[in-house]
Amino acid sequence: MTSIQEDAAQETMFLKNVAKALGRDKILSSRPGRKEVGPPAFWQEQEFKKEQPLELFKANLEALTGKVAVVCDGLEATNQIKLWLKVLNAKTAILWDHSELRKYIDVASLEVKSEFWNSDKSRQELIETAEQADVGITWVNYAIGYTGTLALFNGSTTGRSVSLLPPTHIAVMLKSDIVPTMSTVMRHLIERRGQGQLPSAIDFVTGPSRTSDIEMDLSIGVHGPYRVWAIVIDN
Amino acid sequence: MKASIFITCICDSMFPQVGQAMVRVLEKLGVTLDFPPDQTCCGQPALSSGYWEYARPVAETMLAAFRDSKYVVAPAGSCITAVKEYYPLLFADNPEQYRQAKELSAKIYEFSEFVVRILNKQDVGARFPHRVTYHSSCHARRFLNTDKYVQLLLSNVKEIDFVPLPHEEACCGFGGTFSVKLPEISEAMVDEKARNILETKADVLVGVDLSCLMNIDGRLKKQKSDIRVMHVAELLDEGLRT
Amino acid sequence: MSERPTLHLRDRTVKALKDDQMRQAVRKAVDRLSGNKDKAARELPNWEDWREQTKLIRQHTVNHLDYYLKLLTDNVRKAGGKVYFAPGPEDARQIITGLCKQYGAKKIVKSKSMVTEEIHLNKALEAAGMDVIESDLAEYILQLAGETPSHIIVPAIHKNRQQIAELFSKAAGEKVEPDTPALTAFARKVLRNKFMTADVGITGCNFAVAETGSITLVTNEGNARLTTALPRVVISVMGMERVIPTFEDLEAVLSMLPRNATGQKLTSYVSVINGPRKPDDIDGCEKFHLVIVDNGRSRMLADEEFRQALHCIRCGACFNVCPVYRQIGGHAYGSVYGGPIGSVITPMLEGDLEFWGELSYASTLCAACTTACPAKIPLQDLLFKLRQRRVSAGHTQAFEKFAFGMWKRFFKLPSTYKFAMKAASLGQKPLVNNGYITAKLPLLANWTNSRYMRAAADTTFRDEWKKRKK
Repeated sequence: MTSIQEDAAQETMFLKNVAKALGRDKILSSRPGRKEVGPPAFWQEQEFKKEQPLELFKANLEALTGKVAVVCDGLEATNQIKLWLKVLNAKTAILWDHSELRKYIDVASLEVKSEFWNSDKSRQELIETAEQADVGITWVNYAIGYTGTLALFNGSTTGRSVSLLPPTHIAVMLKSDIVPTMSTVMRHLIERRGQGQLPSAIDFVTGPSRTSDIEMDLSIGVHGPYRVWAIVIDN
Repeated sequence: MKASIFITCICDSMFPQVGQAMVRVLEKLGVTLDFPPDQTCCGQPALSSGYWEYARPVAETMLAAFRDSKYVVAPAGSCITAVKEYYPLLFADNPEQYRQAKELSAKIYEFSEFVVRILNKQDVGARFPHRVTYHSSCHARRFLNTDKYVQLLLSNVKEIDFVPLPHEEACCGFGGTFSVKLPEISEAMVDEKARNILETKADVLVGVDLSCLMNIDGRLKKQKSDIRVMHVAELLDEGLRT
Repeated sequence: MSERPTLHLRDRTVKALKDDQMRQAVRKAVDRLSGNKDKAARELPNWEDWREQTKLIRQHTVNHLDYYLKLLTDNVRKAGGKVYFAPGPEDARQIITGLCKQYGAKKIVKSKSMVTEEIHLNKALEAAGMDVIESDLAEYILQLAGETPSHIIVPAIHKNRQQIAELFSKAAGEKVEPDTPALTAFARKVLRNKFMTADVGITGCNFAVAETGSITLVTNEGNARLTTALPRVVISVMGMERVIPTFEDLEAVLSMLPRNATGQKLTSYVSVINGPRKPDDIDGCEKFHLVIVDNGRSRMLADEEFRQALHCIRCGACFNVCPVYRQIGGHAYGSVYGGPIGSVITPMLEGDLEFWGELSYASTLCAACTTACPAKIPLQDLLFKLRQRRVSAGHTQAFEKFAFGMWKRFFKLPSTYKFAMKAASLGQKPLVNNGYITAKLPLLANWTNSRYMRAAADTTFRDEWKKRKK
């Protein structure tokens, strides 16, 4: 059986063909100049009042059936999570093994069987645990006010499965993690890229999983979580 | 103020009364009109069906007929669109004809735009105490952007009971040869348009494009509806005479 | 690419028009989607600036596509992935099937990808003995039904819940209730199992980011996340024009795609995948492959007028405002891509003006599509140009050519025009009843079957004008 390999000759022919279609006899190798990049100019220049990112985030996520609880410290945050877990009748949780999450949330007191996502367990075990868990709890890299979005970067202790497999996703953050628009997140990612440290996956999560494929009838919780609830620590 | 009439073949042959109404309204507004006798047709049917070479001599006749006009006014949005959108493409390979096409494009106006923009009249003094709804033809709405002029003129008509048409932006299904090449779809589209019109319980359907009005009227008449289908010039003319 | 339908365009549309259930479903869908889009367009400030920016980004990328594809390729490799190039559908099928075979794949899970429809991938994988399942709910429904998508955003809109329940019940071997929660729960259960056990995940690509070697997947369901997080091998397939330069450009197009497609500010999930997982990561794939497909796009690229059609971001806004699509639905187009964009690109991708060029006539050139397009593609203008090219190439009906030839003869001079008008006015007299012709005679029937035809007046406007001068 012939194995499929990357094919340099095929690549050159393909790209040359593209160049030819554009009227060039060689593949363009120098960066073409551009006048405008990204969103329209006014977008970057917008100013937001201090409270707006949180206000927008709360309004937007709640409009999508999410919940947003604003608390003043880790103790209140822990208690809110405990309350939600009771409401959900949750027995098991899987969590990002994230320093901020550990700092603010007293996981032991949550009264559920908790597993952290880290290399103590194998991939197989962790994925299965996430699949069986009632709740996935993460911190966030950013939250975006304009759209009610969570930006989650994949990492060794911040598995994608945590916010994806369980039926409920609880995201914890500081108020200062909430930025007005995606522009801030993109700037940060571009910086990280420059340092060669782009995560292998970035997930922008805006509310629960949904579809209107059946007769335009809205259905929540198709393949991903049914619930996305957020805790904002405003200290 | 002098202006030439471009009557359009459809108005000339099937709706001469619309042309006459337009003449009366414009003359009342102080315009001296002439009718360049060499005009025939804008060539739209052949152009939009892809028969550019057949349309060319007919379009050339148009260019010649209006060469000396200062303003040209027409009662049909689609014909004016043919001149403005298609003539520059058609004559792109001939600099002189291209220039003439651009010149004609710059001086040709749909009736309501001419009244509001050139004559600077938003209220012609008409009274029309009937329930009226408006069909926004695709050419007027999306190519010529003249919807707003009609709306303005209608809004100033005394005692008019204006009711908006649901889905006013939806195409009536004429599309020139489309109506006879894919007549079943055309029927479905004009049927939906007619239903929307009947829903408004209007006495009058008004519009600016005779191709659309002919199409919709043909359907309404077949359905034995007695809604009057009028061009805006007819409505204003009647409103001035009573 | 598209299998040729046996019926010609008009027959396909006649058939579609008889399907009342489909027509009702399509009306409901497009009214909802276009209404939501309009709302979103009013809420986002400076909508026209965003459209202009989208156009500029796509235009710049497509005009320098060789550069950006090379950049993308280099960066995907830097991120640890592999890149392959497929000029045609057979090349793409060979590469993807070959890779799956290499990995000993038995179970494959797919997230939504129109380009994989173009290359008929599923059939090839199944022929090679692999089990492929579509994870997008609508695509899963269509897979069970053995049908193709009828809309690029809501592919199974023509199916009602009873039909879906029948399909699911058959697949389950037991009754699934025809209500949305039950149907969704069934799909969730079935697909969750497939995600957990799949050997290979195959995705499409909404936008590839050249500067970072990323591919971006936009969904509401989460199936693309699952397809890329769990299987150990991921193969992403992209049409070669689906690339943008930077993350900043990604923000711009992500601000427009969901709003134009469904009116959402952002879809539930936007996943940016940068190659396989890092050594320390635990989930994510171990092997990442990107297959870049041409399949006729370079033909469009070489055409200076039609190159613009490659700016499309596949939002479906044109479908949702098209008055023809509204009546006939997606299948009547007969091609992988229907609606206005499909009518423009299908003849070009297939290199077939004669058969597929007919699609350019499934339009009144109303320009609702052009007005709706976030990338400002002049769709109706391109349809108009397709017609002109088709006629120039000689692909017209003899009768139509004759009719326009006659028209030209009579209408090019005022004297012959007047003669023709007079002749028509006299000739129609026996048929005229109260100012209208209603007879369903052979040549007239296409009109008179559904409408009265306005009769020519006794005197033309110009004859009256002449009289008044006297």
